[in-house]
Amino acid sequence: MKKLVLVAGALLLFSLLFPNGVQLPKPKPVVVVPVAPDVTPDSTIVKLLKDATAEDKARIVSIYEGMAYVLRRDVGARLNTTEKWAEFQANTLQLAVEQVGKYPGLDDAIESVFARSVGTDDVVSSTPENQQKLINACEIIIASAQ
Amino acid sequence: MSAQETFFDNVFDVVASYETGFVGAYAPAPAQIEQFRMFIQEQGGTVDGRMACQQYGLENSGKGKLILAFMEILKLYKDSLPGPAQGRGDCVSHSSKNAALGTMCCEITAGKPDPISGKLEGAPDVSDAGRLAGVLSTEAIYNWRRHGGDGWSCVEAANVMLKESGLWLRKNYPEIDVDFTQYSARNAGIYGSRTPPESWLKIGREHLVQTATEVEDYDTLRDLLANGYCISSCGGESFSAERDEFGAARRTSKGWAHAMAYLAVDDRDIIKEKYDGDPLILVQNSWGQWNDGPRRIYKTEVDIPHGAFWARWSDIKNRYMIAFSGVNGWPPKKLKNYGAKGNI
Repeated sequence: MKKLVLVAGALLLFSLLFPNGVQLPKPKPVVVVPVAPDVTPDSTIVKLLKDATAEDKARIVSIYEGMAYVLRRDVGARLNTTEKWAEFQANTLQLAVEQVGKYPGLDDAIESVFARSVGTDDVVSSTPENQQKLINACEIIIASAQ
Repeated sequence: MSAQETFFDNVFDVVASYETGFVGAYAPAPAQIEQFRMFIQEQGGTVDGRMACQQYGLENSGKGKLILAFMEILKLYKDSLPGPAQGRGDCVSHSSKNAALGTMCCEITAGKPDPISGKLEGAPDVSDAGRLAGVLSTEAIYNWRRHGGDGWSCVEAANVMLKESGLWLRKNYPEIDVDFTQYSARNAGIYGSRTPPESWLKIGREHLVQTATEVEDYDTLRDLLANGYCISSCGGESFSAERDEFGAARRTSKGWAHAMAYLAVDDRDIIKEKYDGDPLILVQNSWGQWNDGPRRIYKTEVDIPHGAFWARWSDIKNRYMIAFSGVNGWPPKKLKNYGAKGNI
């Protein structure tokens, strides 16, 4: 009984001394700083967008960042072939681009980036390697539009 | 086997013939089964479907699932099922063709590279007439039955599709002077006791079935179908022409010596509860639109193809079943572009 009274007393004293509880040290959040990939901009795209407005450049960067993000999230589940990717890119651009052809030749230049990166015009499956090639192509376009 | 060629005038004639003892499918000679097994082993395949599932880690991959392999056929070739109704006793070639078509389409839509060439195969183009006639020719297979009458066995057809005459697109073949665009019961019997010539062999070997496995138990059937390997079956079971509210047909006592393909399986608990613990297998028949009743798959917005029905596993478990586990398909499609052309 005496022990119980002692424990209750200790708890009461603790609550009076620390009415808001004890602040335990919080672990510092680990900040992951994304390492910028070593990407060489495509000279043709850079040239085509030389006089582009900041808004247009930002739009292109945003579109391809979004598509690269989707590719990474998909892991080849839905975009399981390059044909599916082509359909996805076409649909995205049709929804996102207001003035098609504003920068003549930009579509061909972007096509060339994908063709060089993937290395074939056959429909191929989205193996992790091929998926990375598509992501690399998106990153080249992003770097070229910045 | 029928020693004479037997032609049917219409779907009623087909059903009546099978229900009065016409033999479209028969049990093969043991030597034929042995030949089949030896060939598979020589090619590095696995004859026993259960072992194949263990070997490739497919076990339980279909457990509890609704697996609709036929959807992959219809994705690529709309309205290609049920295909033309048999005009003679060539059910084995229809069943084999439907199974091979299912496997081919599943390989394409899954985006799996060909295990031999490593390339991704494409869906070959076929005319609208060819698509509605089932995409692939049955006649090109049936001409290799090696007798002058009608009827065949599933294992002999598999032997032919593995070695001599695989997948033929429904189109004109001027090099052999035969047009396979439309199904023709007569074209299925150009050859019989005499085998087709070298010119046929040359085309037939371009798209052979790569390997096949025998299926003897439900889990193997389910797991193979779950991985896109469709099944041809031969046996004596017959079924009602009226589907129940869930699309299933009850087994009847008449008996058909018949071959039919399996293109889906429903292993969901909600279905097994309704059929005393039995899962359902989708049987694609080759009699055109021969049956009636609901086609909607329970708790889905999907219909089974015309001419098909669900059968309880316990009703079909004694049939001889072969899964086609790979086909030598068509070259990869070329990309028109990567999607940016004309869109930015």
